[in-house]
Amino acid sequence: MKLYILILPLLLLSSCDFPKVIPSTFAKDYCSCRFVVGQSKDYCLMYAKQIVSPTSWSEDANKKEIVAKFLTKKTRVKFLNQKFGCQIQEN
Amino acid sequence: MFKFIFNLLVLFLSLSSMANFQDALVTENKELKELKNFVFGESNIHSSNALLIIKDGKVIVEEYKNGFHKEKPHRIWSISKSFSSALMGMAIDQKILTLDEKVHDTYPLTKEKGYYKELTIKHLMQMSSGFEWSEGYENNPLKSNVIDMLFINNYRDMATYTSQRPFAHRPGKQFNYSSGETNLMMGILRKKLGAKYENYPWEQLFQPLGMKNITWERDQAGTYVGSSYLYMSARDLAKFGQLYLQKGKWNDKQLLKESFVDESVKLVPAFEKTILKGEDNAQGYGYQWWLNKDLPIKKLKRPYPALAESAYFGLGHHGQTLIVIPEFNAVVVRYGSDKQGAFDRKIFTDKLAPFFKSLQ
Repeated sequence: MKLYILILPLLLLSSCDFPKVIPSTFAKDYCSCRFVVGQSKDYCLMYAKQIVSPTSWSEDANKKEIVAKFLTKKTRVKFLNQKFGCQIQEN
Repeated sequence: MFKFIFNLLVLFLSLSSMANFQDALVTENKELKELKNFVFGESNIHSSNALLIIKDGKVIVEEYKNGFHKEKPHRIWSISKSFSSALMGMAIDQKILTLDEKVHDTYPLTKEKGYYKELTIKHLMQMSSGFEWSEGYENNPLKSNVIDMLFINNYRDMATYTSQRPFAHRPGKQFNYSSGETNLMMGILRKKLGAKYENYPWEQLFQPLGMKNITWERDQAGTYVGSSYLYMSARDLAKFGQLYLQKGKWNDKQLLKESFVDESVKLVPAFEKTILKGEDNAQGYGYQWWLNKDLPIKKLKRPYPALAESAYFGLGHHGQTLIVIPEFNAVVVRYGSDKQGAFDRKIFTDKLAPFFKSLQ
């Protein structure tokens, strides 16, 4: 029973847009901060984090790509070039 | 031959000096110290990254924090809207489009109530489309159309998303600040220009102003996110303010029509008829510029009384601020990352005005 109480809100949460907001805003803001503005990792981490943080995230410095996850949702943001900056690829 | 090379050198030097501001930093007096303490003081809840003040075309105050410097770009958020407006003004001047043109000629709109037939590009410029739209950021992300557009479900084609919003009001009757309307404007410009669109902002605006390292992020449809995603240094943003201060003229060339600049800072007709929540109710709006006008119909005084009614603002998320102040022949840029606390622009202008007066 206790397990249901824990799982049910998570399932309800996963079905709405809220979980998408977290990885999406984080990945987009972090990507632009790092690759467009050129700030440090520490600064960008502080800059991109909202009240709720992604459950996991990774930066591929070679591909200039950020992937962030929250619960079942994942966002991938790519730095295209200096003129066009970062763009959400999938969410 | 020698004379020719000399003349060429003189021409090059004079053009490059006009493309960049000359330094004329002022000695710190009591008023400047107070201003800087407010902007950069350790005890403040806001966090400033840059303060740049241009007066009479020269840099008189310049200071950076948090790793920023005079070459480094910064996201200007909604000040991007004023750039989108300028590009629309240029496109109008080049007869690529007109303000009275119907939006549904370019983007299909919802047909309910029949309002779609009335919606013009001018309504978009004036944030008066009548679209149902919620412009909330972190404080209410789930009901926010702007968050949905930029980050969640509609980031691929922001102009089309906006064009499909239902009408809450008849076009032109209600002011409602909406990033979607700016992106729809930029989508219309993209469709009108075709292949020329990609370089249009650079060819028409950034390069003539000598602006370097500009980034303008696009959605997957190729539309510049005219509402929010422009990046530039404080000095480059000040050049844009200076262009407006000079009524569209740059290096003896009229880049933007003087009449368009004047129209851009006139109060939107729907603004006085619309009651808005909080301080937005008193701010006033033009063609994607915030104003400082007294509002007699609303019985409200201008929001920044230390500055004259002729001052106008580009304002962005997290405290980004561009102020054009004709009464002092000045342009002011303040960059910040104000996530924890709002940057109080009323106090800022209260401290700016005595500083300018101390220079006279």
